[in-house]
Amino acid sequence: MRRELLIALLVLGMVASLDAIESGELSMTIVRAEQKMRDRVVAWVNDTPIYQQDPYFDVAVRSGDKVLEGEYEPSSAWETLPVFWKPGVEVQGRVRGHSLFLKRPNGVEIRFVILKRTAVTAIKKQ
Amino acid sequence: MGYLAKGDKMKAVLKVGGILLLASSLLAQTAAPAKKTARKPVSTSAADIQALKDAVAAQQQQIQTLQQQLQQTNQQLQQSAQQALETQQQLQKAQQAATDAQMTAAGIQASVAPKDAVDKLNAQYADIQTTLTNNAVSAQDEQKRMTGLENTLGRFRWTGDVRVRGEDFFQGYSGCTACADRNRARIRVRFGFEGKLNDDFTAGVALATGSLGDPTTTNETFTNNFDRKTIGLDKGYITYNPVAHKWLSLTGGKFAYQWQRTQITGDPDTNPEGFSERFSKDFTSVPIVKNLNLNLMQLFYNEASGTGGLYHGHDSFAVGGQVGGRLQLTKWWSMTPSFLVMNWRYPDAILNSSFFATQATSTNNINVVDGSGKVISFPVPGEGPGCSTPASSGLQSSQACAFSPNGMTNSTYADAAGHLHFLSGFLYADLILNNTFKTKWSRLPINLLAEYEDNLNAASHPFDYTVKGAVPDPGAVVRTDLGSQSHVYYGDISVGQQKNRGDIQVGYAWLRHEQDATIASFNESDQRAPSNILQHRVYALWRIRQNTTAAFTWWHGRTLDPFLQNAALAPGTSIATNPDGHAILNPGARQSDPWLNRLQFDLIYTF
Repeated sequence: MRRELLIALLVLGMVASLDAIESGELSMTIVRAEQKMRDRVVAWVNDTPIYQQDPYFDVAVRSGDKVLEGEYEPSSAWETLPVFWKPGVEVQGRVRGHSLFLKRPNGVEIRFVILKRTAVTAIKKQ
Repeated sequence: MGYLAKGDKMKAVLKVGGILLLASSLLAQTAAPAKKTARKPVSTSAADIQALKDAVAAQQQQIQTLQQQLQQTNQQLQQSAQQALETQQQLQKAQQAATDAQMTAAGIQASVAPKDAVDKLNAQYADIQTTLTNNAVSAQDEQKRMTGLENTLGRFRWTGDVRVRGEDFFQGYSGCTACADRNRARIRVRFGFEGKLNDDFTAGVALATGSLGDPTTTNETFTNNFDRKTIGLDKGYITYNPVAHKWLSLTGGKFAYQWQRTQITGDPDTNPEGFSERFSKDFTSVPIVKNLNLNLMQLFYNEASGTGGLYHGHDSFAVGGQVGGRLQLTKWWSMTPSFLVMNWRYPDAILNSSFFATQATSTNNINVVDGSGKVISFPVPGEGPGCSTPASSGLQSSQACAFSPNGMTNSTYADAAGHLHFLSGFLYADLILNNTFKTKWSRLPINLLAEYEDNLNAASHPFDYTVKGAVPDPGAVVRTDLGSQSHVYYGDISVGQQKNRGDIQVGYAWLRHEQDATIASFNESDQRAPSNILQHRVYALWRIRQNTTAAFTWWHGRTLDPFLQNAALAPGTSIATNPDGHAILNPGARQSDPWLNRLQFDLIYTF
């Protein structure tokens, strides 16, 4: 029983360590950085939906030979994208699993969920 | 930054040197003609001394200027430090100023300033730098704490709304003595939150007002002597929507509908219980088809224990699937079509529900012994709509009864054991075409919804109003002149939307809902009756503020066929049979149910 428990813990530890593998901080180039709105139904009046528009940040960055596209839902309505994040601007970032961490100019990281990874060559072909 | 440049210092030295040289040359020139110029050496020497005095005075003035400049530098350093305390951005500026000052001090130290002053200045600089560093670290710690707090709070999103409603009912006909207008005010409060447990899981909890025995409404009427209103668990669910597979969404618990639906198959206030699986794929580069999705659902509405009871221990549930999508047919026309099939298994449990389910006032008395030993007997009060006793009677009036908060209008019958049954089975086939047409005014799109629903398990013929009590052979008493009452036809057209402040939306909806097209227990609660109705609805909405909407709805409906079993009839109405064998509604010998008008004025605050 103890052996099984130890093996299970070992496997769990290995899985966890695999998940924790990080890319390290890299220099990335902004391809796109936009604040967008997404409709969410907050109530129905019979069959008529009442919407609320929730903001989210949509970014694409080039890291090496890949373009990573990600989304981030700001925690408050006052949170905005850094104004310096324009196409071509270099930012510091790192990748961990499905998360893309980009550093704001003040050093604070924003965590984007990676939705798409595309090879730069594939984009050029398009 | 005032201090003497190297050139200025050189000039001063040269001046002094020049004066001394001139003085010595003058002395040398006067040495030969000593006799001729014997009286002049006294005056020349005094001039030289004066020149020297002037030079020294000039130097003193320059030293004073230097000291003033040092003081100014010191003040500037202090000001810079103060500014740096206020913002982190000013830190760099202040540091730059301090660096300049240090350079100055070093320069002065190398030239004319006293060493003590420079040491003092350096000490002050060191203090300022320490203070700045401490403040910067403190600011970073504060920022980290704020970010952590934001991240924690950002994982939760509050949801809910408050609706205050004024409502009026009008229904009348010639000779009606029981047709009194009804006016009431109501409130609905719903409150909850959604939280991201992690990247893949979301959980939600919501509370709502409303009777515990009526899942089709969360309204509370302003009545009962200002009593407190009931609040119950409205939603509680966990959704698995993995980041790695965004196309997959699995939900379990008590949740809002995860598939496309309208009031035909369920009231918007109802939150079904069970499980739902959604498989959805977006297409960005494919023409016309922008999304395809498949939804599966397993809903449980009655759990039976043991092997006894109506269904010998079988649970009652609904299973179904819906295929849907989003089509961009033209630049201005998008459509969201869907087709649902849902099978309701063992539905008769709905007609034999417990008093707890309906929140009925029990007819089973509770006996309590008072202080004098006297036994007091009283019924257990319920706070819900109670049993819906269909006109077919012969039903359970205690222990088990029909659950249908807005009236049971389906065909029902009782067997010899007294258990109630639906005449029809329920297998919904529901087609919805939801269209949006853009206009040149972006805030005024045209919305057109068309729906057709057919209950594939409906009985071939309905019962008429004469069927009551136990029916040993339902097939022997059906109305063969009428076909299956299984269809719903529904259309809703509107102009406008409800997204931003100032948005308006005006619309009209038409509905023909036959008796056994759906289970009456879960249908829209505001229409004339759950089924067997013809209903018109006119509505208007105005987004007064970003989170506040004013709405008006006029429901104008009547029973479709008042001569079917369990049809909803106007107050004071009864059915009789003419000598020629035709049924009539009395008083007035009418053939149709009078229209019921229901006006609703809503103010809705959402968050």
